[in-house]
Amino acid sequence: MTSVKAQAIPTSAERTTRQGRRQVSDRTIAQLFIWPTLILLIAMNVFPLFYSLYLSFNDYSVIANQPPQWVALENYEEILTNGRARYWHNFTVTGRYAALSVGLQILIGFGLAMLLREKFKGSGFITTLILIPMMLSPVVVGLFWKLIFDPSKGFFNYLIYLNPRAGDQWLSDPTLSLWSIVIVDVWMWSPFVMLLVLSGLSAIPNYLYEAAAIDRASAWFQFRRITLPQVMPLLLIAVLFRTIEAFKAFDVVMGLTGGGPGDTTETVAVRLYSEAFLGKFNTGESGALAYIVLIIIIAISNLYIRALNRAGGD
Amino acid sequence: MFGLDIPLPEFWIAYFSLFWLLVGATATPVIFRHRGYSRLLGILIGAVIGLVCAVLFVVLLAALKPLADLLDRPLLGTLLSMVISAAVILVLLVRARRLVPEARYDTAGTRPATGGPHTPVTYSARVDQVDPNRQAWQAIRASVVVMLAALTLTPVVWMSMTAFKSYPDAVASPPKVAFDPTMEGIITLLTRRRQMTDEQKAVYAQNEDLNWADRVMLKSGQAILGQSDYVKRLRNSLIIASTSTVLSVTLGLLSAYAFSRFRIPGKGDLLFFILSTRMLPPVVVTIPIFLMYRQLGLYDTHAGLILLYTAFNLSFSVWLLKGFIDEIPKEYEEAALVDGYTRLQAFIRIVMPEAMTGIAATTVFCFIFAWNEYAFALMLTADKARTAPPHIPSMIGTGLVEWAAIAAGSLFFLIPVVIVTFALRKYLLRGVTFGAIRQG
Repeated sequence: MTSVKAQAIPTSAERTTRQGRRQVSDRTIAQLFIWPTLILLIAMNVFPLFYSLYLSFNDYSVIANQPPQWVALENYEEILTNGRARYWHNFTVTGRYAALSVGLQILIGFGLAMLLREKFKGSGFITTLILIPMMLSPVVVGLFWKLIFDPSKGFFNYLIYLNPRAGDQWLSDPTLSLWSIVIVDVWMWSPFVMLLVLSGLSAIPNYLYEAAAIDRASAWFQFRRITLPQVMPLLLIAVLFRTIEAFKAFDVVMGLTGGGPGDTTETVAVRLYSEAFLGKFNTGESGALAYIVLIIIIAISNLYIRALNRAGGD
Repeated sequence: MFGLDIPLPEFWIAYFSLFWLLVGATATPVIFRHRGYSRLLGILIGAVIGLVCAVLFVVLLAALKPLADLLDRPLLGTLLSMVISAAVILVLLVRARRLVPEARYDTAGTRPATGGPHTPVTYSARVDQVDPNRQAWQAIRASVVVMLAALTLTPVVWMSMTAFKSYPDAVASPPKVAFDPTMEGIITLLTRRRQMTDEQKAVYAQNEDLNWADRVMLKSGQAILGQSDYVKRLRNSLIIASTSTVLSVTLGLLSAYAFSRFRIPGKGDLLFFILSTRMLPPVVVTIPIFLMYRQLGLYDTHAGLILLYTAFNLSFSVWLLKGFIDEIPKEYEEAALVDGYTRLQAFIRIVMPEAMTGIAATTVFCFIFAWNEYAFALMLTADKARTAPPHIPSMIGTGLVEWAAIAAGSLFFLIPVVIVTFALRKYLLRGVTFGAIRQG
């Protein structure tokens, strides 16, 4: 026994060389494993970002047969002065859409989570059914809601009006078109909030409620002082995530209204698209707009990732 | 409905009737069981009570119609009358509970004289949790949830129904709930067709070698010429989504392992950088990528989209897989290393099998993202490599909108998603929050 043991333990000199070798190889492996990813991301994300920064300082159109002309900050100036009214409109549309849909999603998602909190027979199945909209392709969702909102062929008006023919033209009414996008967004993403809140709720230790019950705390008090504070970080994550997504809102809007009627539902992302790929192909100016959006998104996602790290950490 | 004047569209009457039926049928058995009756009796009486509740609700709503008219705002009036009716029924239900007598037992002393659960509680439980009243409320809550889930799924169900409607049924006004299912929509989606005159139709019908698809289309007087573009798009979607998924999961697995196990300078920053690439709105990056691709000849090629989707999904797969690998105890590999495995062997033989569920989940998520992606495909492809998502809206273009065909097209997106949602239900939350938050 002893001899075997003695053999198994390498001499100190041997150990250092082996460890040394392994450390080197570990580092090489780490490099080998990480670099392909980084290279791809740099090529597909970082480089384009710098390229578009460069373009945003140029007067350039992809369909014009002339090289980019350096105009320094003119594109930004254009956005902030002449084009301001319409761009500001795009931002307010995005803001209103984000505020309305995120608010409703939080309410509905939270409500659903509270209902689904305690398990019953088949609750897992029901939860999964409710989650289906979240996974659907946004553009397809936008399209089939377009049919649903149709005043004569769709069923939406038949659901909410006794006289559907006199009901609203959801997608062509300037005040209602944004609401119709909000409705679709809420339908699609409330389950996401529900899922987040459910995971938060299941993490609340039961003894808190037991202690509160022993102290004869009311249901409202328990909700206000135990449930809400414990779920708050996750709600914050939901809000940030949905806000980031609102700035990206493109697929659903394109499928549903295409930014219309007029420009009443033209979100920032849709404007960016129409500026860059339709009409005059205003590459330079759209690059500048993209950069403005980018800065906003980076700010929000910074907060988001921080919140994620905090929630995931404990 | 039934000649009653009700301030509510028919759908909701059916919906709420169903709800009350469900409430009666699920809450009553709980009470009956606690009073010592057999389950079957409870369910039978519950169904009757549910029916009564449903009828009562409809009648109450009709009776409250004047209230809805009285208030200036019809919506508010309707809501108010609904709330009142619901409250009345609930109060009646709660009252009626006391009318259920105790069951007589042949053998005395099998259960306590008053109250308490029917069977002895042998498991550890809070007294207020096994209270019959509470359980009855639970049943009502479950009914609410079921009805809400049904409401959530209505649009999806409607879409699936539309996919099997014929053209006149799909655009019927008012929308048709009952219809003759046909495969017309799906065939329309997948084929190019020619409209025929009656004479041509007669000649065409004589053909011996018509397959079933031809016969279906013959009914609406169309002859199938060949495959539509959609088949091509679908094939593109499949190629691009699967290739990019394989690539991003492979690369993601390698870096996730490295990030999870090795000390890497600036690890936090690198991970942050990787995630931040995912946060960018696609539209922002597309402009430069569009220019870049035009230079490199990657515009409208499969390779271009595959590369882009791989990069796009990579950040996601790194984060998700890192979460899964973090959960595998380091000790497993350390033991393997001590036993003489090299790092690479330990990775392949120890970590990979352990991380298999994680890898599978990540694969499916990546695939669904790539399968659903619209913005990049719209802007970076024209025809050759165009995938299905940007193709479906373009079918709306001009003239008659083939809603049945569009619905059928959406079905190709719906079915995989439903399967995936069920397969991944444990990992959904992880998936959408980049692996940071786990489902409890």
